[in-house]
Amino acid sequence: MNPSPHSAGTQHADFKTLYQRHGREVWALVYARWMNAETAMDICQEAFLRLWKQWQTGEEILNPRAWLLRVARNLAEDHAKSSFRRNGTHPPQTMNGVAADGPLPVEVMEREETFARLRNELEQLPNSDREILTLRYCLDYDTNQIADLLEINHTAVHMRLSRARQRLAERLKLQGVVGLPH
Amino acid sequence: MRFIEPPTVGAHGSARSGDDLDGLLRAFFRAEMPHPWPDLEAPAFTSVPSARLAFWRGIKRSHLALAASVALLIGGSLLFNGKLPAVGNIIGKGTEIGGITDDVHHPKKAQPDTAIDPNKILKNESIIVTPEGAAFRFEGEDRY
Repeated sequence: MNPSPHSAGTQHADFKTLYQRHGREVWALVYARWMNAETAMDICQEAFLRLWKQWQTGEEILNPRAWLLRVARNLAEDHAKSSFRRNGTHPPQTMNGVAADGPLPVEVMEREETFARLRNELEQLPNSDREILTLRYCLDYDTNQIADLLEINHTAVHMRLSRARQRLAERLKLQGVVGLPH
Repeated sequence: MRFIEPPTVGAHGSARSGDDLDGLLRAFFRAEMPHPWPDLEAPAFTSVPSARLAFWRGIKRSHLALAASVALLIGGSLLFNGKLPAVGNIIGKGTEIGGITDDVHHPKKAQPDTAIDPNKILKNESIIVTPEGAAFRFEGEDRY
């Protein structure tokens, strides 16, 4: 999709459509890299704003989706390097972004604890495993969609997904995590 | 007597744990994703950058055309004024080009016929204009 170069309103509409269509998958890829929802959103929006700037200069982008994914990956890598240079460690993580103003119900606390353990194990996995797990379970993408986005064939998707789940399951089993507390 | 059935294992067990893992992952990632999905407003559209770029693109093309024209003009004038040695080298020394001999193209190469004798009565003289300046040709000799 390339916007009409002569209509500001059309260009804005095209941009909005593109963001609604591909924003979540751009976010998901960055989230898989950084395991931080806020950082992923910042980088995702930065990637879209850069696309907007390209359109303003009259640059024609034949495949905006591929362009966005590539830029988002690069920004995620740059962010990781700059963060390490500043802080020396990964930034502190909140428990799924939930701010505890008061005592939480037990079920919620158990759930948050399970999620924290799961996050910890996901962070130990290779980035390629996290990518495919995020696309599958966050966006409910099927094999075709994952293959198209990651530019790999269907067999590779099945293999990677199976191995990623297996690796994660083994690690969670060691932690005593088998599923959501009921 | 009641028999306590051992817990089911094997395919059903693994399927159940697989479902649990799927459910756990789905719940986790869904909780992580911002909801509702936030809007993103593009900055206000400004036409100046693209117009400016188009303006500079146009300027560049016309400048190039002008430069090419001037270069052609200069090159052509130099060619016909005999400044380009390539023409003489290609065609050969002493060959007439439109009635102009190679001696005129390279006046310094002209060979004097006789030594200068100030007492000699000059019978004939003519002026030949060269790019370096006027050259007076006396009978049998060139002087600058």
